[in-house]
Amino acid sequence: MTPESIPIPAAEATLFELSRPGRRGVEPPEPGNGIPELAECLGENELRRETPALPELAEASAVRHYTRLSSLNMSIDTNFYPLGSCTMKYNPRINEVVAGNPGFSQAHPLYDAREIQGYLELFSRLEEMLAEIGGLPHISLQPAAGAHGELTALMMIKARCRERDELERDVVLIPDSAHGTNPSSCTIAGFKTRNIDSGEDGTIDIESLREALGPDVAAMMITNPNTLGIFESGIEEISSLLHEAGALLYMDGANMNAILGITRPGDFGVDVMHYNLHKTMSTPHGGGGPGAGPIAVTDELEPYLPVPRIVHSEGGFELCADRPLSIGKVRTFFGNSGILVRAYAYLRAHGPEELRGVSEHAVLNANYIRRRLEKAYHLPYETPCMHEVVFTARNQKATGIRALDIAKRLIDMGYHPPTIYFPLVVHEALMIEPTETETQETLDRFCDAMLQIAREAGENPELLKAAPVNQPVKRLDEVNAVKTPILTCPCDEPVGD
Amino acid sequence: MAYYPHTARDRENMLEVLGLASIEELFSSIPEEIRLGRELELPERASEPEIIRELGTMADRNARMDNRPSFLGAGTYQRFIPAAIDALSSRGEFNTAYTPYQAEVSQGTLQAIMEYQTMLCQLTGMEISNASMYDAGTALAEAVFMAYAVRRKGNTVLVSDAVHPEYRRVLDTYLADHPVEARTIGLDDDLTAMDSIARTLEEDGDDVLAVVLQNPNFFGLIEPMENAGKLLGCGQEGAEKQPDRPLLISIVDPISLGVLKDPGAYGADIAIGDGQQLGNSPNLGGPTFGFFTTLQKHVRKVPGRIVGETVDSDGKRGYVLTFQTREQHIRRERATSNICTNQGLCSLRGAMYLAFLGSHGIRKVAEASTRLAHYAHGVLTGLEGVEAVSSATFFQEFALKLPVDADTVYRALAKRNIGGGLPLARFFPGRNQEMLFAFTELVTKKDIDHLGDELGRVLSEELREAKA
Repeated sequence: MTPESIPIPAAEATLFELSRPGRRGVEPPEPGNGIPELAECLGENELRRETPALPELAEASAVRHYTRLSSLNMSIDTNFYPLGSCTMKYNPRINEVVAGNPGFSQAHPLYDAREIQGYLELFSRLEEMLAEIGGLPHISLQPAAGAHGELTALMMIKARCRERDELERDVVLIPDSAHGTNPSSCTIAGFKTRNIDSGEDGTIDIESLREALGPDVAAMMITNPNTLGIFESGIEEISSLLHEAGALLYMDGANMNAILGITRPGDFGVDVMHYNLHKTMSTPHGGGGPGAGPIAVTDELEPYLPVPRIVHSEGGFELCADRPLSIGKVRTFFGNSGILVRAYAYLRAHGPEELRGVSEHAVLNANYIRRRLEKAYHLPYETPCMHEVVFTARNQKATGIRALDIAKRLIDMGYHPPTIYFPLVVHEALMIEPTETETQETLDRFCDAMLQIAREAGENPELLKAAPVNQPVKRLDEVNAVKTPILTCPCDEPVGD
Repeated sequence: MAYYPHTARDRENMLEVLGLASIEELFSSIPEEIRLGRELELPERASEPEIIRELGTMADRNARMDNRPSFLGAGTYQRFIPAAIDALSSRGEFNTAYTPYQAEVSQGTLQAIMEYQTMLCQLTGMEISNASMYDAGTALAEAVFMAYAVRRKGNTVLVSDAVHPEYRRVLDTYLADHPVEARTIGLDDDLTAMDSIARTLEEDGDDVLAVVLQNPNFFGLIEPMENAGKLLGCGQEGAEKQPDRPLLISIVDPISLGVLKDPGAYGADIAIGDGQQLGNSPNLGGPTFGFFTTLQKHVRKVPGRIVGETVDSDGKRGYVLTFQTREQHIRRERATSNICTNQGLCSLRGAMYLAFLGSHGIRKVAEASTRLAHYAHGVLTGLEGVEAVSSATFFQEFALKLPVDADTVYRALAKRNIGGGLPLARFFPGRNQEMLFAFTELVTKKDIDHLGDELGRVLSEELREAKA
């Protein structure tokens, strides 16, 4: 079957188009007789004039609507999804099963510590495991996502500067290959950013770092392996330089999937890092979240961690909020608890050997793709890669093909595109992260598709420029979306279901 | 049990293609000195049934809302969740997809977000909504940041003392390194002291960039939001002009909007809240989602993702993430917010909840909750020594003053298999004898009568003991 012959799924009407006045969906429970009427409870001036105009659908129609919508998505469960920097590995079903246990899902966040001993035990054990994996002894599970973990850590670094009377340290160094969340988190935490260039091998340029270091630097944010998939082999020198200058080293843990059980941030000089449990620890991305971004810190930073802290005493687990140096709370309650349960289940499915195996096979898969595609696609850096490989569309430029066109043609072939145009330091970047959970057969089919696209780029570039052709929509006009913004569904044209 | 599929033969084949003798060689760029050189100290791997047993044992050691009558709320509520939501939201096509950056292969998620945004606007009476925030606490912090960017004047945000204390704590953390300072507005009969806001505005109006109120407030009481809107002069500028006055940030209970006046009606500039009640279990407070709605004219200052409608190259309708130049992956240090991953699947459940209940259903849930709460108010204030803390109108929750320590009562009720209300001293030191009770459509008249009987017994026992 050619991409052009795959049947195109039909577009789905909106809930509002499917709605019919007076139609009833799921009926909530009735309160029964013998209780006050609404008019006896609330006054006229408290009531809204009209009931909110929500759609009115029968239950079966709504089920069909959402089922059809789901079929318009690519997902890990349906397609190979080699989205670089996102670690789209298989999300084990067992994690969903255990998180759905009502002992977890039906616990109220304002229960007393005595009433949530099971949760606190799980949190405490998860903290221990994450501490061991990162080589950093203290963990806060509160941050809700990676960017939230970054922000939490930067707030702690700010608090430390304040405590040490060093508020003149208001600059954070950021490599030019960093995720956009890094500089953005700095601004919110009240820091300025200073750029550090990458060297010719794709790693941090030590000279550029030396020049940027000064008494105004509070910290540096690195990603290791970096967003080019390259291990910062000068990491020990980098951390020494920072520490000598009185600054701290932060690590964005987005790429932890490359180094589990192989090397530990705490052992190469990192003072604070975040984990992305929705990347490394297999919790589902959910079409954009929820994730969890726990942070791990050294003894020195421990007093600044968010409250409450979990403490284990003879009587069981307790919550301690009496911590004068703590930055406070960064999220209500305990964070994304249900995601923490899933991550715990994932880690329990791996012993030390299997967890190291995760990284070994993730790196093996990425290098296999690199080898199979390196003749057809330009590699901007010769340096060996870890769990992901960055190519560019340079070889295809002659016929006017861009990374975007290659990405869209991959959709025709049944693959989710890699990350494109990131990292920003690479022109026309194609960033491929296969993860460890893919078979050699899948990788081979994907590479065959990539090689076919490279041929098509020379022979029939229009195929790429017109792609995708077998999705419910073709390329969408993003400029128009901003010029004439439509940010809610127009509700006036009903159609049949 | 590991989830990677490689056989020994696969490994050999692949290494051969790479021209390597061992997996070890793949890691040659990591300096020897920093290699771990030992196995991690982690527990040995467990099989699926072992994991289910281990986590099941932990789960059994947590109290639950669903196996006894429960009257604890304070921002997190146990509600009826249509069965279809679990079935649909757990579909891998939704649950295992990434953020919909590649629009053509993400139309399902994008359209669902577009519909979510629309329903949130219908509910709140606001004009635009983003795709979600982490929770109400961080949504509040982002709302204050946005108000600062819109107003460009003033460094003070007035925050009612009847705002959920957890939200306030998050806001305070976020403001620690920000030029804005939060000043608390006190209470009168547990309602926000509007005269105190009026006085501050008169004395120091130019320095106030926003006022934050919660409705119903933390104590379940209905705030005079229309008065607040009038006091600030909300809604006078028209659709285009930016306001030269403090912004009104309203934290709302989404269920209450089935019957209560919406933020759009009283001229709120930003309306936010927690979406847990919309189809999400309590989950110990997470994951849920925060919602964030505002006016169209502020669209370029909004934090987080927004979906918009557009057309494809054939002119066919489709959906994309839009106004992305506000966001961190493009604007970096000048982004409106650092949020990237949000709470997508939880807000999808929120959208499904609203779609399955519809106009009729959401109104019924709100009505049932407030009617049951008013019935309970009669029953419980009829008990000897129990009195209402405030005389103001409440929605589905109210505080009672008990003749004995509330924490003691909470424990005694738990022994009788009843989940009591929140002892208010947990957040408000000194209010030791007060308990905040919540009622949703999931409790029955019988549950309330039972609570009345048991609370009566507990109180007389405690009073007897206190005398002895």
